Amino acid sequence: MIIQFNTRAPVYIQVVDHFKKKMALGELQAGEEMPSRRELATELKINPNTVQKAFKEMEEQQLITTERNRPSRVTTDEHVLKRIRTELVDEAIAVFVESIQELDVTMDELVDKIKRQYGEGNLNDRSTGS
Amino acid sequence: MNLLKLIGWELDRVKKIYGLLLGVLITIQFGWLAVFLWRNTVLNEEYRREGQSLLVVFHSYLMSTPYILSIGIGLIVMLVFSGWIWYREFWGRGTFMMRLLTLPTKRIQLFISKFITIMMMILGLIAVQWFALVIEYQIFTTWLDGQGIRQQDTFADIRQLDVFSLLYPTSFVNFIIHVMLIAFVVLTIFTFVLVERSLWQRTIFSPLVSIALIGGVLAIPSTIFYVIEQYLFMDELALILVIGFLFSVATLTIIARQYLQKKLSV
Amino acid sequence: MIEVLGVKKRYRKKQVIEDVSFTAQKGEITCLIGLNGTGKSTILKGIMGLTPFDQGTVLVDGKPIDLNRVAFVPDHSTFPIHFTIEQCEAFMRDFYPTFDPKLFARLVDEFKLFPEDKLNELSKGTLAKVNLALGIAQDPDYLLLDEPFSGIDVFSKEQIVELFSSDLMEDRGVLITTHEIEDIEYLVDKAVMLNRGRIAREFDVEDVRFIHGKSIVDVMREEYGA
Repeated sequence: MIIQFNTRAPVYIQVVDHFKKKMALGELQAGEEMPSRRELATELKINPNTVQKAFKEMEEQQLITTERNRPSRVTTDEHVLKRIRTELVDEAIAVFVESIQELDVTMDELVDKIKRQYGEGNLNDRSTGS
Repeated sequence: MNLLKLIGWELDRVKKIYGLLLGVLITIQFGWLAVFLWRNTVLNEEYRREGQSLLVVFHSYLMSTPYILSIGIGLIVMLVFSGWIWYREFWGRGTFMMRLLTLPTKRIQLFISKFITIMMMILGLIAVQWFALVIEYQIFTTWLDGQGIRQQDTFADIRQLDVFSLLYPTSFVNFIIHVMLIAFVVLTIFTFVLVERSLWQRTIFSPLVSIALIGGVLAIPSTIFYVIEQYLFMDELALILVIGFLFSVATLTIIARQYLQKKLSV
Repeated sequence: MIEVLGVKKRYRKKQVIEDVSFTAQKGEITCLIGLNGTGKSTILKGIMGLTPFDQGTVLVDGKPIDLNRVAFVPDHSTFPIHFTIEQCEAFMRDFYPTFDPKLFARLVDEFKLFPEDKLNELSKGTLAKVNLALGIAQDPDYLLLDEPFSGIDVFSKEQIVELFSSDLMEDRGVLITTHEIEDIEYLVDKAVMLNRGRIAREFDVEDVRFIHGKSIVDVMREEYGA
């Protein structure tokens, strides 16, 4: 697992976002065991305290559940998982719309272009990066 | 326990160079003895041909340049080593000194271990020199007897010589006094190094400042002694001398300890 | 917690450290950042009592430093260069009651070191690994590292960086000096920036990213940039 971190955003939020994507894409299933904090820190080459903070954040957002002395698990709450997907899509669209508005593109042209690019498969699935 | 380990490490580190030193000194002395005896044997032949007889004294072997040189080398090497045993730890960006000073061991133990190491080396050297002397005398007499060459002095006469009367005092009390004097010289050198190594990052004149400080400490009792010397009897003089010595030792020890623990800078 | 309180240090005629106070917490990685020659090493050496400060105090968990609990790893060897790695280990075992041979063996294995190698035969990167292994194997509560990445090859650097997110550093307080922050940008909890002998900034790295959207390098540029 490699995450290309951005030095200007909190690393723990980038870790949280990374897991949200995995959950939304079904790479991490509901109820599935999360990697241990220690493993994750080593794998991502980041501070274990940061991973700890990311897990705490995910617990607060109810993305994962942790029972005492057990590995954390992805939530089984369907609502939460749906919400993640909606959230991610909304966020991505918000970013996209903001930049496309600066270019003064009409709605028709935009929809047309999107349809064409989607059809050509130029828009690859980008599970890495943020 | 750590003190014994430290002494062990110190001895382990000096054993090669110490062995080399002993080797060089013994080679010089015995090599020169061979040359000396051979020359005299040849000379004796010439004398005999002229109907004269040669008288050889052990003194002239001991007082010759190579022999004095070997004693001098031993002395100088030990003086230099008393400083070097500290300075070498600062070699290359203060490498090993950093380790030694951050050991979970009292720093004074470092001092004691180095002190004991130097004293062992010096006393060892003196002991080896004694045995060398005995053997040299044996070879000397045996060879000359064999050649029928006349000789004069006895082994006891050797101690009349200044150098050897210092190294090999005739009484146990004198021996103790001599060892204490040697220890005093080592203490003075150690104190100098510790003061110098504490000041070197502060001033480029640290060697001079260190010498001035230690000179000052030693000057106090000496000056007092010379001023009042003429007014005192022998017993009193001896007492003053002892007090002055103890004062110097105590002051140097306090300075060395203080600098070692609080001021030494790597 | 290591507390450095109001320390000052003069070197010849130059006041290298004007007035420096900061803390480094246990279980965190604190990075002392500064341009070259700004007294970072002097501060670490001062904490260890190797170059005594002229003024100020250093407390470790509220007490004067206990050398059993704090290990110092300078950017050069602290053993005579003709020593082998084995000999260094033997010395450490002899004098440090806390030295853990198993931990050392594990590090030797991970770093692929050869115990019979002499220090003067090693590359700078390998030597850095040896120093670090000796320091960690002391099993200290606090580890002070002086420029662990300076002048070493990229693969040694990677291996060393990996240590910081491993269990080997768990629960230890790490105080590290560097001028190459890029290598450990994601590892640092807290940054302490030195400038002109004083603490210019002291901040939680994630906080600065969160609140100001700035990386450590951004803050450094503000502080040291022309």
